[in-house]
Amino acid sequence: MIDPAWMPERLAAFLGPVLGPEVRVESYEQVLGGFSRLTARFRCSVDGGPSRTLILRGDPPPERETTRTDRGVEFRVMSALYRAGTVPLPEPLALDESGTALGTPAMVMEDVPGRSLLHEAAATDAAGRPDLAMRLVDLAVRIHTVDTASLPELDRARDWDGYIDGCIAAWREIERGHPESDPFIRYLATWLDVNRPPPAPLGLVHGDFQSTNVMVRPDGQFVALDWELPHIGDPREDLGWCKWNEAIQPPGLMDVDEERFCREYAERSGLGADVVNPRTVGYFSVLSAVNACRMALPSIAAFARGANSNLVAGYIVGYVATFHQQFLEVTRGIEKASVGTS
Amino acid sequence: MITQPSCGRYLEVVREELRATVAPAVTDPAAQAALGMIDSILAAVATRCDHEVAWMREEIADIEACATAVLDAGADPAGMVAEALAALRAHRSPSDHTGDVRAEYDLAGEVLSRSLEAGLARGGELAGVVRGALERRLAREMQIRGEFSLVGR
Repeated sequence: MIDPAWMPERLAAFLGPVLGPEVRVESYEQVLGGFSRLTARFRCSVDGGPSRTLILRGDPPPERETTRTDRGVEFRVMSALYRAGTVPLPEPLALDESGTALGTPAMVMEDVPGRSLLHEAAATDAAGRPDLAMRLVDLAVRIHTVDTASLPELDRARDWDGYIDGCIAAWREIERGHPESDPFIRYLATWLDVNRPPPAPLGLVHGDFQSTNVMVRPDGQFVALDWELPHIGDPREDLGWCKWNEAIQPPGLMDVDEERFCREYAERSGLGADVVNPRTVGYFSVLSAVNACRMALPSIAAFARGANSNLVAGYIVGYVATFHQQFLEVTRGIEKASVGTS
Repeated sequence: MITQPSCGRYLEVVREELRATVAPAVTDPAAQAALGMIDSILAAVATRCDHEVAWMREEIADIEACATAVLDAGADPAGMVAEALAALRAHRSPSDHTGDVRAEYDLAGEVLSRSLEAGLARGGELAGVVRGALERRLAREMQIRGEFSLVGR
């Protein structure tokens, strides 16, 4: 899909009906970043006008796939959010859902100039990070308060308990489907079931909310990228997942002052401090890992039996060990904190 | 057969060569990320290769002791732990080949999972016993994983 020998020509033909009859692709390069999708950046001009930079994001070939998500869902959710205008995100421009035009299911979107929030945080001194953290709160609240009526693509659980039941069942299902027993997952599923936090209203969840998926524009605006895992769920999943990723991709922003982060989020979202606090976010930091495990374990299994030769699939075994570590650390930490407050 | 140098030693030297000779000559970001992943994988393999069978056998014994504690405490009313333990004991590895021991280890993993479910439900001291087995398993995983941060970010 990413072959620079022929992709510019295909892109020009594909984008013609969307952008204008005379699309010319002037440059094309692969972008390193996410592990799941193939990404390329290219410049193109339309009808001889000024050139613009766009992003192509598509599925890798099956033997190199680490996860399966739907470009059509991603494109339609992004389009609905872009039209609503409350969540900053790249403008989605074109979708090749079947892959007939570009060789694989793919979408084209606006390129967002700037740098990732992870790099921004690394380049910001300790005094400046609290401000970044508060702007991250703002982005999270914007996502989580979207009117979900505009997102018919996404499934709805009957209620909060039903949703959490489904997440826990998903954990057990992942373990059952893996060719090697994983007692950490079985432990976690049991623990999650008996340690449920107070419920929160279900809403839009980004699904991979972390500092590598937030771009900071030159004017300072935060933009949410990588919408391949959106769903209707508990908004604390995004906070928990962000917290989890900070542990393996420092520097963190939530951990600058987690109490304050949670307090600000609770206030701006209207959810309240009993619903959003470091303990409940900790609960969701392990619950929300379900999506990552659902993606990682099948690709590891495929790698083990020789059906997948993607180096990433072998490499992320270390990632799974880190999940196990987090499961125990977080559950122990929450239990200790609960004893301290009871 | 020739057993020296050990597999671990070979991998140690290969890693060093990749780090000292190959990596400095690589400028392509995708290739650099691949080298980072290769190093991480080789480090884990180097840690496992000379000990894997012994470590699995040690943990199988540990899990059996943990399951026995669950049974002795009368915390397995539905017989789930006993069933998994019986399956483990009925399918011991017929050899020291890694694949055979791995199959036995997998059965032990199910025993540990069920022991955790039973032990956590009972709570108290028994919960600590079963969680202890999981923590020892984690310690080994951390030893194999070593330092870990995502490359290419």
